[in-house]
Amino acid sequence: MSNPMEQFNIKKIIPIEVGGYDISFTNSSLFMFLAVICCSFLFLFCLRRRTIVPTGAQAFAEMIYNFIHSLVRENVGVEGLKYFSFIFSLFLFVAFGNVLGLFPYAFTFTSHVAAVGTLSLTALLLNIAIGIKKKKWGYIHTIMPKGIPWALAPLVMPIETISLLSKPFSLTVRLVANMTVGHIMLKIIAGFVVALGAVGFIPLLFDAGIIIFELFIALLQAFIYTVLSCIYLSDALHSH
Amino acid sequence: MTKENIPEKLKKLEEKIESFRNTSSKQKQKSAEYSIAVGRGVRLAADLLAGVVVGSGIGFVLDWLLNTRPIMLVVFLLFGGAAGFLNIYRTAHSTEQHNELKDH
Repeated sequence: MSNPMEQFNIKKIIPIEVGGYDISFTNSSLFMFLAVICCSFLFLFCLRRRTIVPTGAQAFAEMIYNFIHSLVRENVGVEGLKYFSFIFSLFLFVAFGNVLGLFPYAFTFTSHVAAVGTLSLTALLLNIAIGIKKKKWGYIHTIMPKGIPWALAPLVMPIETISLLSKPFSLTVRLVANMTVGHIMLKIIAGFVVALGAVGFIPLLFDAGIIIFELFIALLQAFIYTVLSCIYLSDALHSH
Repeated sequence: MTKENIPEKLKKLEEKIESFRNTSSKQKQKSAEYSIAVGRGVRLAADLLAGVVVGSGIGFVLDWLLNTRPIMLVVFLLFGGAAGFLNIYRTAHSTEQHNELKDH
């Protein structure tokens, strides 16, 4: 229990193997399921009685909706509202993943590069698809900007391609690093509670403070992740 | 007598609330500015790192595919570094423009 990295271990719950590939149902998959179920239930519960003048619960759901709606409109523009459902799901999934991970004995799937990286790659592929659909062959200017002589193409094209591909990577690293660091810190300080014996209440108070801060970080990081995906989307829609 | 006193008292209370509002909002703004600056710094660092890592990753895979170790790794590490700086330049540039738009 003293190992602060133990909480990030992936454990198989239902081992499944198909064609030599391990696709077991793990604790990570369990919490992804829980995140989806929780946000679905939250919205079903809050919107069970839809009235024109919203009640408390309905106002809460509408607040989240309006928040992301204005975020998309400000960062991508009115044409970005077509992709609102994607951004909204992305935000809810990441936010619930972060917050659920703060519960005792819970697993934080957003602290794993494999999970967040796949989300970011999906966002990148969507952006490339939107860009190609909108600009057809003009999309080549994303990796070969206008006004650059073709003689420089062997230099510029790899650099621009790496720059494009590195976006989801930096997006992933930021979220994963934040989540991992927070949970390690919580665990290490919690370890002192037992080790210090009688004065163990000092690190306990400290931990209580940190967990509030981590809750803030969890929502903030989900917000940042969403904002940056919006910015990449707007790059794909109307870039140079 | 009390009737005359009320508006003055109200005025004083208003001034008090106003001054309290000003100081607290200024403090809030300061801490918000600080966290925004930290976020920006971390973003720039992650952007530079991402370029280098993705570049060397592509080089490594190309080496593995073409059996040319270590030429591609070296070349793409340099490309990756350049891409990292390009990322930083673009991020810094866009935030600068954003700030200018906000100021005007």
